[in-house]
Amino acid sequence: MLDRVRVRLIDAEDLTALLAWINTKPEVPDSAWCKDFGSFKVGGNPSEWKRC
Amino acid sequence: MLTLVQFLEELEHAQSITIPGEEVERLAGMFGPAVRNIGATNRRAGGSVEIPMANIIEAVQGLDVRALTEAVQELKSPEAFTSMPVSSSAAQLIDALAEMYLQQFQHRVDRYQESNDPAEAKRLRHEISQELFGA
Repeated sequence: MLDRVRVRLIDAEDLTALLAWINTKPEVPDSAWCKDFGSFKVGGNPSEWKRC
Repeated sequence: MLTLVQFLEELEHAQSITIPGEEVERLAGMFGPAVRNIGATNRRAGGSVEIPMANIIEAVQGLDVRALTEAVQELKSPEAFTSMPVSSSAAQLIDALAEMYLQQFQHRVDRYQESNDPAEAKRLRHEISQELFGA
């Protein structure tokens, strides 16, 4: 992931939003989920994503 | 009471303060989970949060004396509150610290992207990785 940050495929502001989100200890479902941070998405079970 | 020199020595030696994980959780219970953004979280040490002393000084300077006194009282007697109003002085202090920390993190990422020095890029990558993932 940090390789993509280095070449600006991932935006610094979006990565900061990820940090702020991680720090809040978010609860995520066991089933497929995803969260859009703009220049990237994070999630669980991505093969099951229908739409993100 | 500290003399001026002793106070300055304290500032010099204490570049940052570390809030233990239990204290962070107590504050999160009062002010919400955004409290965990007031400094760098040590994910391998029970979620303790390290705050640069300079950030604390700058955040405190943004409050007047009355607001600072209120903030200290609010932080010292959490038992009186189940949750703190977002407009409270303590909440303002926490918001200021969180804004500063996140701005500094973003600046570090900007620098990581801009740096032409491989050693600096490697160091920044390590720091960013530590803060994001604890590894």
